[in-house]
Amino acid sequence: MAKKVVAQVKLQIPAGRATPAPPVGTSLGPHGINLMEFCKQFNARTANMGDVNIPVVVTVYSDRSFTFVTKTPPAADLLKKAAGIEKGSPQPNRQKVGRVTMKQIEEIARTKLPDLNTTSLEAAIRIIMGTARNMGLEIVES
Amino acid sequence: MRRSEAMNESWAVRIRLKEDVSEILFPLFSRAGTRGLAFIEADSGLEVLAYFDAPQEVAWWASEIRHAVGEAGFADDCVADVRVERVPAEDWASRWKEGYKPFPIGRRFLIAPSWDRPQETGDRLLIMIDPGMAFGTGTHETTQQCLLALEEYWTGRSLLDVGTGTGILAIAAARLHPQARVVALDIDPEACAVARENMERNGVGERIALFCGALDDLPEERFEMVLANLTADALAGLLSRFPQRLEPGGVLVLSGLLDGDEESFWEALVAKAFRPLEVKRGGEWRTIIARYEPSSVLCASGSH
Repeated sequence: MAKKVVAQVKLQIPAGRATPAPPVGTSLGPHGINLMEFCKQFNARTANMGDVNIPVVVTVYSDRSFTFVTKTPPAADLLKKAAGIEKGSPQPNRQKVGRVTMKQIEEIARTKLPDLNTTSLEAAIRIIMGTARNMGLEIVES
Repeated sequence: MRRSEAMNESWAVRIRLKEDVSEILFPLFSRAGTRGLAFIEADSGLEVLAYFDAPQEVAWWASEIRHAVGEAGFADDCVADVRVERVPAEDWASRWKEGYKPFPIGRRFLIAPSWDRPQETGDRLLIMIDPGMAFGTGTHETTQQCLLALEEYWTGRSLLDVGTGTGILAIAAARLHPQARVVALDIDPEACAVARENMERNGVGERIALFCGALDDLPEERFEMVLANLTADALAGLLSRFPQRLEPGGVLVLSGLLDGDEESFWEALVAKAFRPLEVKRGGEWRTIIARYEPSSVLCASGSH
């Protein structure tokens, strides 16, 4: 049908656990879209993704209908998988919880590149390295 | 659905970034127990809102964020501002419904959301449609123009709805003429599921043949009216197929065109043996209504 986009809303919410509470309600509510329907659809699509946060871009049309696409999980989740850890360090400066190699960092940077606001692989690598440090991961050459 | 959560107050940490280094901050948000993030793009950079169930301390966040950004090797000044805001309790699960009330279209139809079913509909036909993941809630000009065309130009024998979305047009047709043959199609499986649900909700599920696929895949059949509320590009791509779907004398309704599109479509339709009947206008949107008259082409060819 004749669709006209009135807004694009970017969110990051836990897989399978969207509710009409913020950020869903505060971000999508003012556009008048069916929040329960969004939550139902998002939860159905992401229910099997485990305990990760999922970036999602919601497109709102002029008759208050909507579509959404989910993006790659945040780098922190990809790093946890790469390092084989369940969660990051509560004190990343003092307590290291695992290690990742530069090769793994680069792989994650390539995976995330389409969803980061940069086209430079070098900048993406810096961002992923920064994320790793903030999780208490040690970065090793190989 | 944890509806009560939508009614509790919460706190948002609002961070303005000159450069998008938000990815670096996610572990920090995660450790602090965020319930989710929202991103707002602005000319000056990016705003990230991290929501929490408990009050947050702005000084702690400002220090942690600058530290995390610095640790990652980015300049301190890429964080422009950090604030904490209280987000008042609000029933978001219900508030979005405000302003979505029953409304009449044309002489015969009354469109209403399922949660606000009118007790009295007079001589209007009630169509219940909720906004969701398919286009066609009745609030858009193109949908309204198609409903008017249905009232004014269809005698109720047979109808094909191409790109049915929520199914609103096919439902309206089935309600208007219960004995009619109504076929609805959409290439989007999600839209087909929504349409099926709406057709059943409106009690016309068995009266409409819903086809999930492309127009070319629909078995050969001609209709008294073909409705297509799509976009100009999609309509241009389908234009050569419509004559094979219309009875001689049948009516084609092309909607989803923008102001300025009419002329080229008008010419293309005339070349395919259509006689233009009317252009409906609403805002920037246009709907062309034309009658298929293949005999007029034969006559015109014969006269040369």
